[in-house]
Amino acid sequence: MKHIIVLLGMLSTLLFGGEGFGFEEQRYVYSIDKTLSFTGHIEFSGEGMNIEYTKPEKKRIEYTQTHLKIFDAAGELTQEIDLEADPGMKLYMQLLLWLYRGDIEALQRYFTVSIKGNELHLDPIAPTDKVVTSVTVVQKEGQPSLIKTLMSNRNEISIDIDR
Amino acid sequence: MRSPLISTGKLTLLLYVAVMAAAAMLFSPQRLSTDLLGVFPQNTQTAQLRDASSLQMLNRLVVVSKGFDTASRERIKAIAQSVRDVEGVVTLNYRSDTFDPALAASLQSGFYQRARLKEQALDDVSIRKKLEALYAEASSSFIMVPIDTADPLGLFEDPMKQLSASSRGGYLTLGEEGYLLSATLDVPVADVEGARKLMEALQTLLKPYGADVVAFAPHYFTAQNSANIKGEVNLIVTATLLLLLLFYALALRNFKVLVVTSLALGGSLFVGLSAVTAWFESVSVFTLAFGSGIVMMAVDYFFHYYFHGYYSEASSGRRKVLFAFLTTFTGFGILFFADFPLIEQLSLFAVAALAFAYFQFTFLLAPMRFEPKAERLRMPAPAAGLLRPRSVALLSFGVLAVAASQLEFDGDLKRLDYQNSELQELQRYVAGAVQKQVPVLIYGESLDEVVARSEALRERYALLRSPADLYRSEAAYNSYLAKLEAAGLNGLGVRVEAIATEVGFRKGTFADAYALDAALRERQSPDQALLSSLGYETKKLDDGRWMSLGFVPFEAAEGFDATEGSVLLHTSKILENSVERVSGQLLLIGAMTLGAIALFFIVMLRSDALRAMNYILFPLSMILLLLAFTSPLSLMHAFALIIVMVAGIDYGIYMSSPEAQTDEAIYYAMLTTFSGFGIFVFSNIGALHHIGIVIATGIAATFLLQRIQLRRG
Repeated sequence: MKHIIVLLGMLSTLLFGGEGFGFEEQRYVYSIDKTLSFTGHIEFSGEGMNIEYTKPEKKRIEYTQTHLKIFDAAGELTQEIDLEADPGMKLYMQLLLWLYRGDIEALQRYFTVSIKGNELHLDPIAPTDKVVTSVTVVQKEGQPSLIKTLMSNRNEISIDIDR
Repeated sequence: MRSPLISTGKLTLLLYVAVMAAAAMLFSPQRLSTDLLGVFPQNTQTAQLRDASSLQMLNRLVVVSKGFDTASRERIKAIAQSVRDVEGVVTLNYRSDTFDPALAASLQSGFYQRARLKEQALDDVSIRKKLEALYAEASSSFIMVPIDTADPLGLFEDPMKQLSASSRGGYLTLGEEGYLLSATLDVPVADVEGARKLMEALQTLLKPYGADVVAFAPHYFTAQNSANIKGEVNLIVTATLLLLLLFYALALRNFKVLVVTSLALGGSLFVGLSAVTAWFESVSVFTLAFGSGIVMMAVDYFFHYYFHGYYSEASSGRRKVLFAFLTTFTGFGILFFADFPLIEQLSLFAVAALAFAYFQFTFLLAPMRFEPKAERLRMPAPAAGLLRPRSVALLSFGVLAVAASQLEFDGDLKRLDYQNSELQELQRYVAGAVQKQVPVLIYGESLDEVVARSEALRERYALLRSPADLYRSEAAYNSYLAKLEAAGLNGLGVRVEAIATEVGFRKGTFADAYALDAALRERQSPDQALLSSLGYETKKLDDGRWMSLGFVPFEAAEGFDATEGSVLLHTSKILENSVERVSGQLLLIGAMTLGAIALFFIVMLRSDALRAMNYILFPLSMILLLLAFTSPLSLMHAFALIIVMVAGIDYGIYMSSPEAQTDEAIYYAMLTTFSGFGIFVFSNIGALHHIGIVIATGIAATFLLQRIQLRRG
């Protein structure tokens, strides 16, 4: 357990220390058998999070714990999603926040946390397994480089951290 | 002539000792109860309030950590850790993402049983359009698009969705105020000691957080108010004693009178209390309060004798006091038959206590030499009067008619409690943000009947939250199955899968869509534990019936008209209904009592009857007029009116043909009453304030009547 806490602490510092990080996201949508690619930058502010997409087009997503707000390139609000109505999305956003905070207590409410080599594994506890199948954080040269999430609907999200 | 074996003096003393001994044997103080509901007619309405008071959901502790920053979240986490250990806390919740796997599985397995089917077109063109839109969104959206493979067309809606608590980042929140912690407690709200311990423990625990944290539980009222009431009662008792000392020592200049009347009235109070505690299983403390008021009215027997020289043998006339006593005795005798516990108890109390007071003042004290001191403070001589008794009576009836048309009864028991404005403000703050729902009790012979009644209510109040959110009754279930069939759900999954594949979805994605057979094979019976764990607290009552808790939003509660087997938990309205049920009988008994008093007056006083009757009518009309335009009539007002009427009977009889001493006797009787009860008008305790306002107004009205009614003699 001590190792996990230390590692999470390191991860949160390395991953998110400072203002945020740039990323490349590969999202495989199983039901339509397509992979979507996005590039952008994540910033954390207090209890919220901002995701600025630069590719394929400029968009901004603001996470406020209760809602996701989507803004277009001109900064106009185009969509607002109540996260209570989308538990999968809610859990995913929270997962990023917990990793950012190194919140082992919160993670352990939903996952069994373990370390294998240079990887941190999160195995979901029921009923989280209805939404997520597994989460893996991979380190490269002592630095976290990839967060890979396998959803229970067989979608896959890989976030490649560009530091 | 042979002297009797035992003198009259010794006989009365013997009788006094015998009555006091019997009272001591019969007195059962353990039967005194602070149960407010016990004073109301025991019917369905009061039973419903008792049922409600047993629900844990309605007596929760709420802690709010102000703000939504990290510090606020850490505070609520730390508070949760320590509140968990407070004695009396049973369950505690501050996270919205806490789920019990078994509960989640039950909810999931029951989804299609409880779901509502939305009306929408299910032809191939409409289905294709919908699936194409879904495909386009999933192919391009910046956020993950949730695809419900079981219900891709979004035909079903979960009624339990509205139950989800307001939350941020997995933590419960209270509106826009901050993070929320809610705990159930096993300390009864009425348990003063338990409530005090709970409040002290919480205050100690939350003190370091200062103004960043607020906490509230209904128990706070019990704990704080009992301490405040104690303090205020002490103040009132001190003020009463000071006033009585002032009147008796400085005005009357006869301290012995104070001692003797206090002993006699105390003895009467004890006899009255013994009678009611021996007769009734449970005696309200209000009987004690009002009874004390009625007993104190008997002091006018003493003053009438005292100022008319009965104790100094200057006069042996005791006819008026006898008339006054008999009239009051008969009035209470009739009231005893009212179907209203407080009236029954008060009547028996009054009959026993007044009889003993009459006995003491008339017989026991007769041999004592009491004489008004010549150097006493003389009261100003009243004027000759202005109005004839008939005019006063007409005026009183006129005012009574106006007052009756404006007067409203208010059964809100909170108005009778100590007016703790700070705590009331805190309760409003918490309730305003968290309890935007008014509780509804739904009854049934079985849990199925509770569900059926919930469905009937929801037909009229779409926003009702009830066990019908979770279950269907047999009839509703059959009609739901018929509706699914009529909508063409059979075979819909195959059509959806085929069209989806054409649109571009992976083959098999919707292979299990709308496969409802297994989920709907058998109707799920309502489960008490599941209902309770989801907020619809459900319990089996002692009489074998079932009761569940439901909720309606505030805005819908105003026009809520409960059907059979349900009630909106609006305490004051329920109590008003409870009183309304017996109002016909009360009016009849009240009219009979007034009729009997009038008859006594006519028989005893003949042409002076109306003059005497005005001493009841005029104060009554003035009090009701004041209340009609200032405050709705409470139970305490109504019972204090009885005290005023008791005094009115006595004063009326004395003033039917007043002598010079009569006014002075009444002044002192009124001053004594004011010292004892009139000063309640300054109290912050609702019940006492209500008694005080009625008695003080009654005294003022009697004082005025003495001056405006033409007098004879």
